[in-house]
Amino acid sequence: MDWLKDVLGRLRLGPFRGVRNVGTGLRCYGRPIVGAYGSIEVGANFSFGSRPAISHLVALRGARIMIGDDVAIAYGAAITAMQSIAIGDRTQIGPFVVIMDSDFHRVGNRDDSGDVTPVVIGKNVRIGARVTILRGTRIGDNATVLSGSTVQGAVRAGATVSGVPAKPLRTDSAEAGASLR
Amino acid sequence: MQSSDASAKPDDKGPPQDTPDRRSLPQLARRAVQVVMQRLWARWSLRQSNDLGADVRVVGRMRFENRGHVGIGRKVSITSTFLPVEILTSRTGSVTIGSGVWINFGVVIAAHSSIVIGDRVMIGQHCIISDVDFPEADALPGADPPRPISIGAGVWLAGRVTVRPGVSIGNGTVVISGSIVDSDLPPNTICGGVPARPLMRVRQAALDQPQAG
Repeated sequence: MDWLKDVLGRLRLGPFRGVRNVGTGLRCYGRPIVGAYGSIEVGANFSFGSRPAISHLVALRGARIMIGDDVAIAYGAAITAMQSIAIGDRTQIGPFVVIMDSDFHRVGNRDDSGDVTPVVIGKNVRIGARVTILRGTRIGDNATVLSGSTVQGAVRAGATVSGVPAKPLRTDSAEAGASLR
Repeated sequence: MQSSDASAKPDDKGPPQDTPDRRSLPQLARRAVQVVMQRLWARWSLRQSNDLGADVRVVGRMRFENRGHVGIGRKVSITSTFLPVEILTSRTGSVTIGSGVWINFGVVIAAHSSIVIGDRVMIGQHCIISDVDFPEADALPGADPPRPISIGAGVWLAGRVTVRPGVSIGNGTVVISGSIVDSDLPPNTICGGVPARPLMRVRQAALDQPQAG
């Protein structure tokens, strides 16, 4: 059935129909919801899990989602861009991850979508299960975000962060200390 | 509720006595048919397994993809109603589930190396037990190598617990809801948090509970 998935991926049928740039080797597990109201670009060999819990990948009008090569996002992902979300090559993201580049609402005025700041996730990053990535997060290359963390701000390349809010682990805090605001 | 307890403390009425389970004959018959259907459904749902014990029950549709080895003990109950339960193994993966294990909805068990779940383990809803970062039967190129997981007998994983690759949990331990288990946990301990840490001994916790009756 692998060849069938490849053919379907190339034909841009299934969940990624209507998406302009999808690389070869797309693998969808289950039926994710892909909303390309803005633009979504996906590199080669993208694996997108969507079962048992459905994932969604939504770029709102004028927004851009860029996903590099060999990226894997497990099931239950909630990724919504109002402006820009970029995920680098070979990055792997665990189940039930939330990535957003806005807060959707402003405190005191729920009709205002508030400030929007792009999210940039570097190359070869490991993001564990049930991680929440808030707007303005910049994660450097080869970094690791441990499961259950909530990240906002900058994560230095190669660092390992954990917790709510995510902080560098004590073991590498000497080199990565004060990398998070 | 024992009647001797009530006679020992005549002043304390205590909670109302449990009414005996009096179901009518049609109700009992319906229940029996239900149980038989759940067992047959388990035979069908888990037909790819290598070993399957007696009296295994499955409720609802689950996803079972076995490319390696899956052994399931006796009296295992899988509730797959609101969200499917998934048990997945790659060609190199093995899942061993003991007897009397209860698995609730939305649980994903994905093995590329080995996952051992002991007897009488309870696994709450939305738990993730995966020895790889991407819980699917397909191996991802460039993924970290799988690290085996073992969960001891009588462990209770509450809802939304994530068990990370390489972890082993001791017998009789309770992991509270939402915990992320990223390191080994000792036996007979209540553990919790992100990452999960031992909080108190199980026996101590039982003593702290107000005694019933």
